[in-house]
Amino acid sequence: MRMGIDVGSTYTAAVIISESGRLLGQAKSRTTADILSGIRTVIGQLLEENGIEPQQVKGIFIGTTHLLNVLSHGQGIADTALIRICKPSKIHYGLGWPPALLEHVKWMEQIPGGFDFTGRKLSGENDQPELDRLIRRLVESGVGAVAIVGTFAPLYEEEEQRMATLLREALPQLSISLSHQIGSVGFLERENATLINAMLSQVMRDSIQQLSGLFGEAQLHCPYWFTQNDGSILSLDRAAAFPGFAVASGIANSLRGSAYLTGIPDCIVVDMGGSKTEVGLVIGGEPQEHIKSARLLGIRVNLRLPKVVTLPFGGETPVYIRDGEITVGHDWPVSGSEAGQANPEHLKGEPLEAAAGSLTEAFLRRLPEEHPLRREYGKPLGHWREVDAEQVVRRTIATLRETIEQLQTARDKLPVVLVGGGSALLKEKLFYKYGELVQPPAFQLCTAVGACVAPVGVQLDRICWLQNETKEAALQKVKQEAIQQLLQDGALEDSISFVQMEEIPFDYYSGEVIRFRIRAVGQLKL
Amino acid sequence: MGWRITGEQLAHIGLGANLLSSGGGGDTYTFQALALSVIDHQRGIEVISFGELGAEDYVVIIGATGSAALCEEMIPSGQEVITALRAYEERLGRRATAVMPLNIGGANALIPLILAAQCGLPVVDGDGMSRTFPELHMSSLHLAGVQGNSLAMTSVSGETVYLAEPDNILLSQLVMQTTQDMGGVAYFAGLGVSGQALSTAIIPNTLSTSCELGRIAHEANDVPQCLSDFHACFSNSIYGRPQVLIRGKIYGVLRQFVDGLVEGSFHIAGTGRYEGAALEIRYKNEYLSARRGDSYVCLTPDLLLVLDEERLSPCMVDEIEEGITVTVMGIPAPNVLRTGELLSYIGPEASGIMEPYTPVELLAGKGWLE
Repeated sequence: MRMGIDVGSTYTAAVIISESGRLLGQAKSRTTADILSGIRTVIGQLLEENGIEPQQVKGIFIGTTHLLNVLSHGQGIADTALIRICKPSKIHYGLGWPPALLEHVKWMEQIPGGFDFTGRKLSGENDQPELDRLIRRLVESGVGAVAIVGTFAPLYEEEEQRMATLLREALPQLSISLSHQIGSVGFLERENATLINAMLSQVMRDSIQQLSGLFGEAQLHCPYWFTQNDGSILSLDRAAAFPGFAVASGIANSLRGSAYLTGIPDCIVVDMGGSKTEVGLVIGGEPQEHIKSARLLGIRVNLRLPKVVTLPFGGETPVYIRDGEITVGHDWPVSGSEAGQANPEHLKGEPLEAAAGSLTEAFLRRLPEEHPLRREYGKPLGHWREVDAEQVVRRTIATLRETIEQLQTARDKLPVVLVGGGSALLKEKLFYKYGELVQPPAFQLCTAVGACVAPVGVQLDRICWLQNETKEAALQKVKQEAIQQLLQDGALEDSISFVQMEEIPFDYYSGEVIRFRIRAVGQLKL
Repeated sequence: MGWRITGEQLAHIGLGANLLSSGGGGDTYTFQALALSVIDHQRGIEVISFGELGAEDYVVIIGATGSAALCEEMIPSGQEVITALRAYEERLGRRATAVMPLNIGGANALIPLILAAQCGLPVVDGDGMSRTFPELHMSSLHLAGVQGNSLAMTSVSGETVYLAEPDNILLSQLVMQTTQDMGGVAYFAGLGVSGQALSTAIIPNTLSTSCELGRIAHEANDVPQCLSDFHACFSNSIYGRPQVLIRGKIYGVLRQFVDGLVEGSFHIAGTGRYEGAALEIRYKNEYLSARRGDSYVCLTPDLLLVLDEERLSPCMVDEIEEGITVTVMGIPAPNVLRTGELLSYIGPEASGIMEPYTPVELLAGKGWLE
């Protein structure tokens, strides 16, 4: 059997699934500030209540929004240095970044170098004194991580590699992120992604160490994996090197889990948690991704991230009422002058009055007293005026419907799957005018289930010169590389399939150059 | 009327330039970052209108040529434009008193600002194309008989050349060839023109229009507000009253590469009040035409704005993807682009569409639908 764990912002959940795919047990607990004790609690419960012996568990799969929360709150981020290998530029790093995150990028050095498109060097060799000075600076500034970004490194990686070797020799403890391993062409976006990856390196290293200890204590001696932004597994080695690939694993698992639990391969997923609601698209059981300019906390990155709309409210989001103006959370006005126009600035600096209640309570207030959900809630509902509750519900539902419409494909109306702890409330209200609305039985555990059924995955983004070979031959090579990597990562050979194959002609040098972007998955052999 | 561009407005101009690029012109992200890095936040960047130009003024056109994708990877140092301008001035024995973009659509809107911020020169509010076209001579300057004659080009690795040709079309060909030889991207300064000549050859106020459009999209809370503010902004500009052609979802995307250009087409299936309607858009580096069934509703050089409703930002040709919800606007090109000579370079027939040019106002019918 497999164990899936989801560490969300509000709850930590765990499930056990049998070889044949049956849900055997589940446990849920509040996410704790230290993350770990919450995981310890759910594992303990899960094994104990279902009478499962730790040896029976063959693999553990972990998805989490923790890394994203680390980035938003700035705790545990490694102090990082940036080394550009390029024609030195006046462009500052970190433009448009949230200040709390940017302050962890301590300094930048630009080392002359990089390549042009054809592989011609943009400058000569660097002299040793220059490199010695760079190493001294790394030592003296005490940064824990470094991001190295070279011009056209996705095509010509040797300069980044050489720099890494040099730094590794001098500073074995330094965590090094190389841009060509993280993203494709687009220098600044790759720089952003590489920096974010480097900044998360310590958190990830610590997590792995602590989790290994925790699983050992619990007698769980099986291998474990993280999951990544497309909802496939990420080995511990790769997780330690590429934490950036796991930032969106929480939602990716939820998307995959929704398709799995409902058996509907093409759907729109609405995942309402405690503090936010995410709406995403699944096609053929695979989470759909952004093609161009993905953003993380408003920063443009060339990481491949699921195409998800995040709405700033969840079941536990407080609702404030002030002078007849209702605000859900801190900045989502529901009524007042004109919806959307109230300035959130006026809330800053002033102490907030007590919240009237949570979003959940607003929904419950609109249900008859004898409704099972209300009885289940068990707490008094606080002082809600019926009209206020109605307004909150109406606006929440309207926003969700608009978002669902936005994600619908052009030609089909896909069914909508409701998951997440807060989504019980929605089913009553979000009648769906075009298609089906489905809520699977284990909807609260969807993300943990999605982690549990994560496949082995590989994504390759390769730019190929077509001087001596045909396009087909070049594509065949890339496909072979993908298969090799999947097998190496433990996929069953017969189960391998290509879920995405894209040819992107590269503007300029047309005909001679082509970019392939492919994604393949396979089942994990346990 | 003059004004000073602030740091915040650089982001507005970046977005606005893409709203005016009819799907082409390259992503402005890298050049926005560079402009923001070199701007003096106290001083800003001085903008002057064509009316402020005097007989003694000498305006130099600043920009980049080549592949936008390469610009995004081979980030510019910021020095290239200065090097090119100095080489040009030295060759001519004359100093620039102001600079201007050749085309407001896309990345080239920001490149003169990068120079102006560093050299303290003013930027003239306007351009020669009011959008973007692939070649130098497809501009109001050429139409007005301003023969650029020469320019200096600097590559990313710092190499500089000076090119001269008596004729704009020949110069344009030489520039394209030299760009390839220089690694696919080059920065140029040249096509100098006296203040007096420019004041009749310019397409005026497009820089302020781009800034205003970008501000609207940045600040709008929802799609209807954004569209109605765009409507007012275009109606009061050198462009004209825009027409909403459809609102819906993209499907059936075709994309291929022919002779170094991205070309293809895609469809939009109407939603809401446009349910049942469909639109086909064809493009070749830029959006060229929109068609309902067999009838064209917008033809180049009129602009097409494909607005991604979720991001309130324009979809560029390489961002077109199945399923995106968009509103499409047809925007009248300034009259100067609708004259016979320019139409012979940039009209539908020159772009391979066998349909005589008719203004979007006549094709798409009247009225503001939202």
